[in-house]
Amino acid sequence: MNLNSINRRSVLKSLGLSSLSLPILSQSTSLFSANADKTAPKQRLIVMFSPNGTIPDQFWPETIGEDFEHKTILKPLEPFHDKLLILRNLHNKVRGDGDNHMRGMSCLLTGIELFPGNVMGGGNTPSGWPKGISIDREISNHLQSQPHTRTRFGALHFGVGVQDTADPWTRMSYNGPNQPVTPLSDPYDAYRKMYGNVRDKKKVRSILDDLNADLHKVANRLPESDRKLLIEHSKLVQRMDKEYEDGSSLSNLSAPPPDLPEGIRNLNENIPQLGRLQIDLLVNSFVNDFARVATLQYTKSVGQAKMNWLDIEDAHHTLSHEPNNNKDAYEKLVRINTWFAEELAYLLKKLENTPEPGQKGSMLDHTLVIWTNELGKGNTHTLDHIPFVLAGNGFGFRMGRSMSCENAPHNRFLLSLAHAVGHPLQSFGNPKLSEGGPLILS
Amino acid sequence: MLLKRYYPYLLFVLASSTSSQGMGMTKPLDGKKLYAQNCAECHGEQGEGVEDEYSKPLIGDWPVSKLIHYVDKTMPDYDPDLVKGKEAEAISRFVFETFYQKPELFQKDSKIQLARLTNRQFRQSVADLFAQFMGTPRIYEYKTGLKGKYYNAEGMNKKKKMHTERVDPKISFDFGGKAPYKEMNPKKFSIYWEGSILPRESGWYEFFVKSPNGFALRINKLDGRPSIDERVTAGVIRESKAKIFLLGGRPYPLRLDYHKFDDPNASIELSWRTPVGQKEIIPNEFLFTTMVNQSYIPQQKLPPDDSSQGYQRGIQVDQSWDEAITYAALDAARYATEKINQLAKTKDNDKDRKKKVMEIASKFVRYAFRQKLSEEDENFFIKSRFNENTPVHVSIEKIVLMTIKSPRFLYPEWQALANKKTDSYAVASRLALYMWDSIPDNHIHKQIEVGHFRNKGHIESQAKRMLQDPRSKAKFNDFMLHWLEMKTKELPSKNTQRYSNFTPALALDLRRSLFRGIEKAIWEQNADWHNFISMPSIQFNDRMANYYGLPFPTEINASVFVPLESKKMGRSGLHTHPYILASHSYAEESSPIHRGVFVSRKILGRTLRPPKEAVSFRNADYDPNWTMRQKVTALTKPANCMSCHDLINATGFTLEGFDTTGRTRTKLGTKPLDLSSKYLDENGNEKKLNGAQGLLQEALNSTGSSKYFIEELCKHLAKHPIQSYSNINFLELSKMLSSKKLTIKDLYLKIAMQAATEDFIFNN
Repeated sequence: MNLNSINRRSVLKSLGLSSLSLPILSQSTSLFSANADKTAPKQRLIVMFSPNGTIPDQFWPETIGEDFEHKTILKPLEPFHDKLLILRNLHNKVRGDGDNHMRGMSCLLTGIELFPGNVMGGGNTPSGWPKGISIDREISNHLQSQPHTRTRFGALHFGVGVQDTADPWTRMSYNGPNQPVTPLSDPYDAYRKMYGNVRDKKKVRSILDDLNADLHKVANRLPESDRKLLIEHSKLVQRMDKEYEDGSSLSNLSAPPPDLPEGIRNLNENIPQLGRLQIDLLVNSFVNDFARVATLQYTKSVGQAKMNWLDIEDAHHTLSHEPNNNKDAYEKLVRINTWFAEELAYLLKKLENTPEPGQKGSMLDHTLVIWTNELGKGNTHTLDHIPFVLAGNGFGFRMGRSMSCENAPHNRFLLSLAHAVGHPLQSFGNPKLSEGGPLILS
Repeated sequence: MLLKRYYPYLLFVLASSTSSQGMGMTKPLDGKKLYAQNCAECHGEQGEGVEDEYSKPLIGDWPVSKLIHYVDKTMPDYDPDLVKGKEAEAISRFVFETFYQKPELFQKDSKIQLARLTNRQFRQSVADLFAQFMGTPRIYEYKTGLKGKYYNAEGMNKKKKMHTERVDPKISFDFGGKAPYKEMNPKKFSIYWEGSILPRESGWYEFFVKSPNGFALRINKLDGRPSIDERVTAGVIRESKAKIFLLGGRPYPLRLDYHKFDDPNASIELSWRTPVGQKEIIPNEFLFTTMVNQSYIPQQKLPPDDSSQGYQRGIQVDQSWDEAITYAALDAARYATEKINQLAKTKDNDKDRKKKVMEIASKFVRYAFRQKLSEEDENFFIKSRFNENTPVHVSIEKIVLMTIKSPRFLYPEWQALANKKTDSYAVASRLALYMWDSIPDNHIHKQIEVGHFRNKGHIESQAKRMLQDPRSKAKFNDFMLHWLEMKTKELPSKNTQRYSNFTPALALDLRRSLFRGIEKAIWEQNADWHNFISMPSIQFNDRMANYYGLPFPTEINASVFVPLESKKMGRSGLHTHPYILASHSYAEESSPIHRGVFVSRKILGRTLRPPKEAVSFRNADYDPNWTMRQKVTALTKPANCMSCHDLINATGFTLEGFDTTGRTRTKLGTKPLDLSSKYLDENGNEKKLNGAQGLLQEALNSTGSSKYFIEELCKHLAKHPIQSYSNINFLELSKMLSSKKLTIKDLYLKIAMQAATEDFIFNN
C-alpha cells in the first residue's frame, strides 16, 4: 500500500492519538502533504556534541518563555534568539550498566540501555554498546526509505579531534544494537568520501609538468632504441594531465567543494581549524543534498582536549572534575563552553547565509540544529538537565523561547524529532521512558 | 545415482607444420635443397619460423634419430607421404646440423633493455625505501610463538597485576568460565600477546579474531586505529577480519589485546587465510616472539606484469599501470606525511625540524634513484619543494609523490644505458634488483661513497652479505613458486568420497612441507644440485604422517614439521614429494601425463613444446579395468602424439607407484604395477628407467636438468635470458652445478654477481 493512500484519520487512529495531538502532527508536513507534493520543504537535522557537561549557572536562562536572557555561555547565540529553543528540565533517565559518561554519550541519541559488557568506567558496572539505534540514524533511515527524501549518503558523521578508539565514550550514533557508527574525524577523509579523489588528482597534477620535463630529460639521454618505453610513459603522463584537468565528476554539483587548505594535521592544537573545515564540508554536503542528517562531534565523552587556543593548558575532562569553588577551573570551563557556542554560531550563520537550493528561505529555515552534551554538569556527572539547545526552523517547532520540559525523560524529546519528520513512532529507545509520547514543541 | 565423471584435460600432441607446396619427389639427396622445397615455406629459410604458419624457430633436444623418424612419419604436415625414407633423413640431418641445436642463432636482441620495475620489484623497493628510515624489521632470535602476558584486572585497570608471562605457540584458547590459571580471577582478566608474524609468500592475507570477549588486533600497525577493534564486547561470540597485503619473507609486528570482564565465557582464536590456502589458526611456524619494527608495504593493486616469456618483466607501460603507480605513490606520500617526525627523527617543536626533514628527503630521493644527486637534481627534486609558506610535511608529500612516479626510480637500468657504461651505482642497483628485487641499502651507498665499490673483492663481499639477507631467500622462494609452477596454482583437491581424509588442511600441509624442505636444504644445509633434486628427506607433520601411514614421533608437537628420510618411505627425488604427485594428478586417478610433463621439464631438463592440438582425456572412454598406463598408452598411440608422448609417458609411467594423493602403492586393484619404461635421452641413447629412483638416477647423470634450472634462475633473477650476459659462462656454471662443485646458494650468488658486473671495469 502506498503511503499516499493513507488518510489522515486512519494514521491518527493507528497511532492511538486523538485529535488533541494534532498540533504536533500538523508540523510534520511530510507525513500528509509532502508525499503528494514533491516540493515539500526539506527537513534537515544536525546534532552537535560537546563533552563533559556545562556550567549550569552560566548556561541556563532563568526565564522560561520568549524573553529568556543569554548568559555568558549562550551569549554568542544571541543574534539567533528568534530561532532558538532552549529545553530546560530534560533528563537522560536511562539507567543500567555503564558509568554516567558512557550512558551520557551512548544513550544520548539512543535512549536505551547499554548491553552488559567489558568496558569498565569510573563507576557503576562495566558495559558494552547500546541496545538500539540512535535517533539520527532512525530519522535518516526513514528519509532514505522514501524516494523524494532519499539522498546519496542519508547521514554524514563528522568528528573533530575524536580519538582512534571505539568505545561507548567515543560513539553517539548507532545503526542498531551493537552497531556503532564511526565519525569521519579528519576533514580530508570526509572530503574524499564526499568528492572522491579530486584533491589527490590536484596534487598529482601539480607535479605532472615537472615529471614530464624529467621524463624527456631522461629519455633524451638514452640511446634511440631504449626510448620507446619512456615516450610511451610520457604520453601516459599527458593523458593523466588532461583527464585530471577535467573536473567533470564535480561539474554536476550545486556547489563546488570548499577549498581545503593543504596539510592541516589532525592534532589537538588544530581543533578550531579542523572544526571549521568540518562545518564547511557539512554545509556543503547539505547544499549538494548528499545527506539530510549530520552529526558533528567535538572530541568525545571524557574528552581531554587542551584548548591552548583559549590559553587553557589543562585537559578538558580533568578541569570538569574540579569542585565548584575552584574559580580558575570554573572560569576556564565557562570559556570552553562559550567557545563551543561560538562554533555553533558559526554553523548557524553559515546555514543562515546559505539559501536552501530550490526552495524558499535559508538553509537554517530547513534545518534543526541540536547542541547537546553527555552530562548536565561535569563535577557531579549528573544525567539530569542535559543541555539541549535547538536552533533553526526545519522541524516546525516553535522557536524563540526557552521551555521547561517538566523533568521529562529525554526519550520523549527524541520521539518528537521522529514525529516532526513524519515518522510517528510510538516509542523510541526504552518504551517506558517514552511514556507520555512526544514532547509538544510546536 | 551414479555420476559420470569426465576428465577434460590437455594431451600433448606435437605441433606440426601446415602445408607447403612441396614439389614432390626430387632426386638428389641434398638436404638443404629438400628443406627449401618442402619445409621452408612454413619453417622459414633458416628454420626461423613463419608467422601464421609455424612461428617458432626449429630447435629442440631430440637426437637426430628421433628427428628422422618424426619427419619420415609426419612431415610435411598436410601430406606426410611426400617426404619419406632417405629424403626424410637428408632433411633431418641438414636441420639438425645447421640450426636445430643452436638456439643462439635465433636469439633476437638479447642485449639488456630498458625495463620498468616489475610489481614485485616496485613493492619491495618502496617498502625498503621507507625501511631505510624506519629500520629494517628483523628477527634476530628465531623463537616461535607469541609472548603472552597474563594479567588480573580490576575496575578500569586491565593490568592490575601480572600473573604470568609465557610463550604461546598459537592463539586458540577456550577457557570456558574459568581463568587461564587457577590462581587468577576467572571474572576479570586480560592477556596481551605480542611478537611478529613472518609469512612465506607475498599476497593478500586475511586475519580473523574470534571471541565473545574484548579484543584488538594490530598487524604491522602499532599506532592509530587497530587493524581489528572489538574491544567492546557484544555479549556474543563474534569474528572480525582484516585484509592486508604482505610481502613474503619479512616479519611484521603483531599485537593482540584480549580482555575478559564479567562475560560468562572466555575464548579467543587468531586465524588467517594465506594467499593460497584456507582459513586456519595461524600455525606456530609463522609466529615469533620478537617484536619488530613496523614497515610500510604498498597496498595498491597493480595490474599483472608481462609474463609472455615465462617470467615477469616490466616491458610494458599502460594506463592502468600508470594509474596504479600513481595511487601507490599518493599512498606512500600520505604515509610519509603522517610519519614524517619518525622518519626524520624529529619532533614538532624541534628547531632543526626543517633541516632534518630536508636531509632525509635528500636521502630518500638518493636511495630511490640509486645514485648520488647532482646539485641540479638536488634543487629540482628537493630544495625547490621547500619554501617559507609551505609546511614541511606538505613538501615531503610532493617529494615522495614525485620520486615514486619518477622514471629515475621506475626504470632502474636507465643510467647505465644513458651513460653507456656501468658504474658502481649501476652494479649496486643491479645486485639489489637481482638478489632482492629491491634497492641498494644504506650499507652499499656508504661503500660506494667511500670508493670501495669498485674493487672486485669488496663487491663480492657485499654480494655475500646480501645473500645472507632474508630478502634473497624470499626472492629464491618466489623463484621456486615459479619453477615448481605453484605460483597461482590452487591447492590440490581430490574426490571427497574416495579420499575423504585428503582435506584442504592436509593439502596446505603438503605445500608447506615442500617449501620448508626446500628452504632448509638450500639455506641451512647448503644443498648442491644433487641434494636439491634428490630430496633425501621430506618434512612431515602429524597430519601428513597419519595420512601417508608413517610413524610420527609422539613426543613432538602435532603442528610441527620434522624431516623423515625419503628412502625409508619409498620415495626418491623432489618429484616424489606428495605435493608434487598430488598436484599433478586428477581428482580420482594419478596422471602420468601431468607428472611426465613436469619431470621431463624440471627434473630432466628436456624441451617440450606446448601441443598444437589438445585432446581430452576421458576416463569413461576406457575399460574401467584398465590401468592409467594402459589408458594413456592407448590415447597417445598416434605418431603425431608419440613425438612428445614417448618422453612424457616414459617418465610419467615411472611414477605410477604413487596414487593420486601421492601415497605409495605396489598394486592397482589386484594387478601388479609396471614402473619401468624405455627412455630416449637427448643423445639418442635408449635407456631403461625403473620407477622414481631410476628417473632420479637418470636426472643426476644428465647435464640437461641443471642447465634448464640455471637458465630459468637467471631469467628470474636478472629479468633477461642468460645469453644477454657475456659475463656469465653458462657452460662452466652448468658443469660446476652438475658435478656438485657449486651449491644452489652459490649459484644464486654467482649469477647475480656476474650479471650485475656485466661491462663493469673493476679496480684492483
